[in-house]
Amino acid sequence: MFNLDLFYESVPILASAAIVTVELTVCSVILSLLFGTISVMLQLSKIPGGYWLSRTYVSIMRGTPLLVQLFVVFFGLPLLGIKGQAFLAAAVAIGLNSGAYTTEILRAAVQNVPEGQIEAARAMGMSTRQIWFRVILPQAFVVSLPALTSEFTIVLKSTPLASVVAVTELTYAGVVIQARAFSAVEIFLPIAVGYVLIALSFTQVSRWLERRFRLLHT
Amino acid sequence: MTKNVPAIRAEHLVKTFGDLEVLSDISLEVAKGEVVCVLGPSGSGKSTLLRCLNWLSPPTSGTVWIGDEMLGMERDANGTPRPLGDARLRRQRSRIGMVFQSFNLWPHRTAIGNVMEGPMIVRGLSKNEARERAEVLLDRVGLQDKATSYPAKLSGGQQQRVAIARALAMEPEILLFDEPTSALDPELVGEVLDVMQALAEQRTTMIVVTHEIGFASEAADRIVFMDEGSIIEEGAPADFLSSPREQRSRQFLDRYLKRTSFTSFASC
Amino acid sequence: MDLEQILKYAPLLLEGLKVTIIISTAGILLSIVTGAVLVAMQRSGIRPLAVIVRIYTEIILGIPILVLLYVIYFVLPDIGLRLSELAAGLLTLTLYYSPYMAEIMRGAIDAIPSGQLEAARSVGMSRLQAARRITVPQALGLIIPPLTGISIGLVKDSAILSIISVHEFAFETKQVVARTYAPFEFWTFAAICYWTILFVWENGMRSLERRVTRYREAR
Repeated sequence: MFNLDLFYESVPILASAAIVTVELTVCSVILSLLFGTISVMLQLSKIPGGYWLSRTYVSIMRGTPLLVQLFVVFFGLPLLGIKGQAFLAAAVAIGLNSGAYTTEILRAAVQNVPEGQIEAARAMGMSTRQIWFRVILPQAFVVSLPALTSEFTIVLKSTPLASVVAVTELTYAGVVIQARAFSAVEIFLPIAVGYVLIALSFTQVSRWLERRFRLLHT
Repeated sequence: MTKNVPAIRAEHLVKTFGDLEVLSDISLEVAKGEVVCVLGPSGSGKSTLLRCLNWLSPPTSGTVWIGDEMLGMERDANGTPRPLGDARLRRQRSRIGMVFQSFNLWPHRTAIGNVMEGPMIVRGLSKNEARERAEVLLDRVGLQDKATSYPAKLSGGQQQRVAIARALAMEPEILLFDEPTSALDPELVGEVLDVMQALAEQRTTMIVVTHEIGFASEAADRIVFMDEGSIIEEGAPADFLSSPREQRSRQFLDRYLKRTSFTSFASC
Repeated sequence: MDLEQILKYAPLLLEGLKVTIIISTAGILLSIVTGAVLVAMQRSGIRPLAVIVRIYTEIILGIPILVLLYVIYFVLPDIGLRLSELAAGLLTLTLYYSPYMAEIMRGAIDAIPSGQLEAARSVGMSRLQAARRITVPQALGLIIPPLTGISIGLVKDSAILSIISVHEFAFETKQVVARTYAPFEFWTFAAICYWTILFVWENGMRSLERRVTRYREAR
């Protein structure tokens, strides 16, 4: 029942598709951090309208399916003159989506930075921007590492959705082979294992990061 | 600038929070090289006064002058005062050092990193210049061997000494201390007071809000006694501590002396 | 956005929305029940059962829901289990979300001080009575906020079922897009619809939580 030949044949193809999955995850994570950082700064600094802009962004991203967001971005980018960029659309959509959750994670951490530290920085004459980048954010990121790690595991688990706009990542490759081979176990089993392995290596990297930073701080 | 311009001068400071008047019409002058200790029961507005003096919490009304420059405000062409732009306020603030009750060190920077941060970021010193300056200052507070330790690894007394070095690194014209020893275990108070005493002997201009009457009597040129948002009495330490003129000062000192004699009795 | 076109296709979209709501509701209820079974297995004191739950939970946390959907939809027929699209979709949502539901329940149960149960036992309540009269009413207040979050996740993930042609809202939107060639407009419209439903759902749950936890304010 388990066709070994098909298994051997498909593993190399799946492996190269897995690299696309990792690339998509990394790009989405970078965008998520970028959007999350901007959004949390908008929300908590006293820029007029910033609070509402950020809250609206978070609400929309959390209140609609990623699949729908993906289609909106995919069909929206051409309206901005960016055409035929499925990978970019997927990374932007997943990054925007995850950025909302990153906002929430960072907000909790930022609000935990003691007011006194910020006052000490102000008393020294630091500007708001300097206080954000030198005092608040470095601490917030370290404190949030565990929560961010699980958020980025979720990002990894959302990347299969990119297959709906034909990004040839792991799941898409699986569906294509499966459609040709008329057999599924040999393909979806390695795929499932593949995701678990990628997720595990992610967790290891972030554990290592966490240890490093925690050692640094104590 | 003439020689008799005070280092800092506050005129008619009033601070209200809602209906609550925390400071009512405070005026205070501190000369260059003078050490002023502010005493008073808790809730008397001492800390608020310090926070107004460096505009961390701008007063409801009144003005503060550092040297001959008005703090946090400027006059427009018609002479009406208006809030100063952020960049200029920051430059002014960096001339006033502040040491907090709860140290407020930045936990993600080492001891020396905390001291280097201000000179590098606000003053634009190079990393090497900042490090040289920080090493000298850590040496002055007796912590050269703790330079690479993170705040979490330091005792409260050590943290507060780093905080003093951090404030000194900006080469401020005035140093404000907001109950610098109140958050410390009793056995750690001494090392911080020693550093402050040394600063006082080097004629650093200082305003110290404190409960350490012993320190005030030894280090201060002048004691200011506050209660309920007003300055009740001020004078040389010897005069104030031995023969306070006002009823409320006497009560405060009586209560304080009773408490210390009780603690010293208890510790026998 | 072309309102006329939206009106023209409204009946079709509405039909899809109905399926989304039905399938989500069923998915939430089924995963709660399955989650409760998982908790019971884990707390049964029978080690193998607890181990099975652990492994199952780890697997689910590790794989994407779309992969689980494909496994159920494509792999199960290979071993002779052919499910309809709707059944495969519902099974996916249930299997995927039950460990999350279990986690919520565990958390809520553990949050209730054991002294309360001892007190219940001391007045002579049975285990079942204590669970029903002491644990559940309090756990309910603790469960609602995380349950809201998880259920919102489930509703959003139900859109994925459109990929295997379950005729829910996202699927119907895709159909309309294929006919109108106005993808950006209709997907944006779909986003607005999802957002509205989930906004109402979230706020409804919040007011329910306030009602359930009213006892906490009476101090």
